[in-house]
Amino acid sequence: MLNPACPCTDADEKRLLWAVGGGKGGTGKSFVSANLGLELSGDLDVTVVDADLGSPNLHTFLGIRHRELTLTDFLYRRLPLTQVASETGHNRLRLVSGSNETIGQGDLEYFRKRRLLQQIHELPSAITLLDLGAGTSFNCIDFFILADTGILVINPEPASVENAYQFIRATTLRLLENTIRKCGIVHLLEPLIQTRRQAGGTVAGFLEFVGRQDPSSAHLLATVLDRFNPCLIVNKARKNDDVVLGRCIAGVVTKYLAVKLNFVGAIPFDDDIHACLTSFDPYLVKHPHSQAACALKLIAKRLVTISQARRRFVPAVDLSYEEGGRAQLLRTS
Amino acid sequence: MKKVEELNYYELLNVEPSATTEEIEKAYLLSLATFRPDWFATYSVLSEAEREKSLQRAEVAFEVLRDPARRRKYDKVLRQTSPGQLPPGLVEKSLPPSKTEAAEPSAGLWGRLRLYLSPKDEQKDHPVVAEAATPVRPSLSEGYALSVGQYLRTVRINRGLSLETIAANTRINIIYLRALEEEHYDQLPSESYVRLMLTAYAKSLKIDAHRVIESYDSRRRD
Repeated sequence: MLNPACPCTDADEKRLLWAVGGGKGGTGKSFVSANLGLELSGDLDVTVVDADLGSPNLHTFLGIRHRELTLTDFLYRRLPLTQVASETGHNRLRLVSGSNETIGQGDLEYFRKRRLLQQIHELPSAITLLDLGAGTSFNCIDFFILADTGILVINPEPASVENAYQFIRATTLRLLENTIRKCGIVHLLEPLIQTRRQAGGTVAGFLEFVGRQDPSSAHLLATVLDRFNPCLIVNKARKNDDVVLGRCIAGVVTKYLAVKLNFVGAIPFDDDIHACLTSFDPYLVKHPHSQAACALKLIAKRLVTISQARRRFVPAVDLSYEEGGRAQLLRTS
Repeated sequence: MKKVEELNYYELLNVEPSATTEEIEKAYLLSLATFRPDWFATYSVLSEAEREKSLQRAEVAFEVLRDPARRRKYDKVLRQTSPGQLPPGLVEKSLPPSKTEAAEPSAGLWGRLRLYLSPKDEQKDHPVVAEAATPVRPSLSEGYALSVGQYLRTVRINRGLSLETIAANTRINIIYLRALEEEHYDQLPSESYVRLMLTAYAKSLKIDAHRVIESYDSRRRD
């Protein structure tokens, strides 16, 4: 039996947490994170956090060569994250720069990860944007699930599309796993693991199986999935096909992967982006009226609208099950 | 969450039950774009057989929903279906037997999607379109006095091709092909759709699609 008396915590509805991920490297996650931050910081307090623990470079996209404080100071010198967040000199944008430590950062210890997650939530900005690394490490997936809005960035190429589907599948299964552990329905863990390991294992198939065994748990898991609505951006689009690709992928994910994916827009390929990188100029500052800039601005507006309309649901910020601690399911309505 | 096999026609095309015909057409075109054989939108999610089946499901759903009379009938039966039951006119039963070979990229299918996907691209960019043969004039001197539908039919018969073959090559429903040949345009979706199908039909016969469209336009003006 499920215990519906999960403790709930009210959080500030106005603060939004976004995470930019995507599975494949080089799709433009940092570019998108930096420039969405630049655009939104014109009107709001925004903090961008370089959560790419293995290879941080968000500061480069913002034209910052020298970093005073980084995530290393937070993780190992135990400075508060609010202190590590530095002004960027652009509008109301602050940056938590990535860690200087390059070895082993992808496998952050549990207690450091927990501290980071908790302090990310406590940052005072209206929007906090996490720039995640590539791949499907637990760090990436957990941060993506933690966010109010997960943003997937892909390129219009088969490899990127394939990795995006893998990423969505991984985050969905991790979300279900977290929920199962949190709500004490651990008899469903083994079937979930089997689903994960099967080549053709699907979330829909798993839910159907659970529905036959334990309808109330199936309802809970379906509700959790229903509230997981990531957004999709197609970066480096070169033709109309690439824009349509975003809509097609959103449809496929919604229909076949049990997740409602919102396609929020495509950013055109622009040679000036590379030029800005090499000259350490933030793209949106240097080319505020280009087609790519207009696309970014439109996407930013759409993301804000979607995020604000959505009920905030924060599953499993507390990772205490890893240490046998008491599980909590945090929910904000 | 429903399995794909349990979705009704509206859910298959991802439209509301109150969708207009135009919205249904656009949704159908998006399904064609998603599941077409020469693209990677479903790469690593669907097998070739599953992709083919998804395409066929979209075709079946569209055939019913685009026809007002059939749609009304379907809506009535849908209202009478209780939540646990499978939707009426179970799509799986309507599907033709699945092919064992992978579908060849079809110039006709690409032609149909053309305006939707790349309205400003030059035809020469796409390899499937580029392989369309050099325009061939039919050997009938009276060809120029024939109407568009008669012309297409004459060329087809002279080439020894059946409507089934054209339907298989272009992925256009045989009912629509017959309507094109008989020039019953009122049985077809919007005019832009007619032009798409005429283009695809002409290319499958390896005749000049532009001339066919020009002829169609001039006949419609008269």
